[in-house]
Amino acid sequence: MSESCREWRGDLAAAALGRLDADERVGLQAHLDGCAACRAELADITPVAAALPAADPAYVTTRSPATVPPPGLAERVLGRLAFARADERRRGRRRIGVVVATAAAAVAAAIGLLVLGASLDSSAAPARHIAFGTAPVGVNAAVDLRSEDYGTEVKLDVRGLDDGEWYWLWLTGTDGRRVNAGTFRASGHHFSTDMTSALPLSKARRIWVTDGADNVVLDAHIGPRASSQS
Amino acid sequence: MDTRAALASDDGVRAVYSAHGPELYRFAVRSLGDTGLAEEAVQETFLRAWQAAERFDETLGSLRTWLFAIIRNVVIDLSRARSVRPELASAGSQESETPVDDDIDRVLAAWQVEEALHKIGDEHRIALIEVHYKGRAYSEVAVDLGVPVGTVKSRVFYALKAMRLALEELGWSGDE
Repeated sequence: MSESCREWRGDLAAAALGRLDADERVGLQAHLDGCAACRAELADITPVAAALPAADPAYVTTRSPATVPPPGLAERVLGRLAFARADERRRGRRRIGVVVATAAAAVAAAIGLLVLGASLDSSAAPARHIAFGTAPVGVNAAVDLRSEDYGTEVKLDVRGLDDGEWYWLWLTGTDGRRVNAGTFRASGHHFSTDMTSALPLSKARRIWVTDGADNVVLDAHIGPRASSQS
Repeated sequence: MDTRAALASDDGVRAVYSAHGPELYRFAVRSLGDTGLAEEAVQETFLRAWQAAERFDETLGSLRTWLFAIIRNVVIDLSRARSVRPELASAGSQESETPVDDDIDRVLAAWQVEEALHKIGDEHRIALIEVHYKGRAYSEVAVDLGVPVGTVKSRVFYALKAMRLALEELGWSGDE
């Protein structure tokens, strides 16, 4: 492109955007016929001009800077992957320790049922017991979830969380929305607490606990109710 | 780069996130219309990427392209799981017959252009928006901006050039 071609650049863009009048088009065409560089420029920007209408003008006219992700998102991504990796390692070990683990789980479940049975109104709906599949080393935690008219009752039983630390309990619904079920402060090496979330149990697909830095500490999937029970 | 290895350490995940996370998040917000769901989409995208990393073939495309292919599916899944999907629904489909896939591709194309517009310089973006999106006369825009008409025309040209580069960085392949 020669120095004189600079003068044509504005018209090249106008041509690509369909903004030249008839006279201007004739003038530009006369130049293009003898200028390969300007033809190449026009070929370069024409598909860009054609792509512009894909944008929604409502999003284009805004002058606000591009949306920035919340600062905690990177850590939550890290947390999710760290637990997935830990879970994978645990599965590897589980093949070896499956008998021991099953026996331990049976004992834990039996204790859980005893504790639960003692505290329950016999007319209440049965609770769902879920152990947190992902948890830091040395932490054991499980919940009993009960469907109520006002949402989901969560009875959390946990040992090994950091003494005095604050934690947040969340449920995630089938629509991906997270709903808080309250906060608690870990005390001692073993404790239980009752919490409530407005999310109906039938719509809950995940239960998880975050710490003060918004890292995911405990995480479990809530599957749909087993079909054998229905 | 070994993607499985990159996603297997916190530092690696951090590096991949800082390179692509914000862009993935913005696409998720744009397509889902909900920041909470968008966060979920980004986390799920990284999880699926890690789970499927052995299948990533860098000879077939960049890590970025691959992550966007994943989040495209994640957004579809989250949209399907949700009865109301304002962004996808407003993208043009009327009721049930139009597949979500078409909607998501339309939103992806829209988002690419909108994202590219954020990446070019202010002077270029303003000239392009005023002239093209608002359909105003060059002379009118020139008066508003207090510059000669030739300057507005030139800015629109360089806006298109910059848009091309920005779009290509976003995986656009507009030359049919």
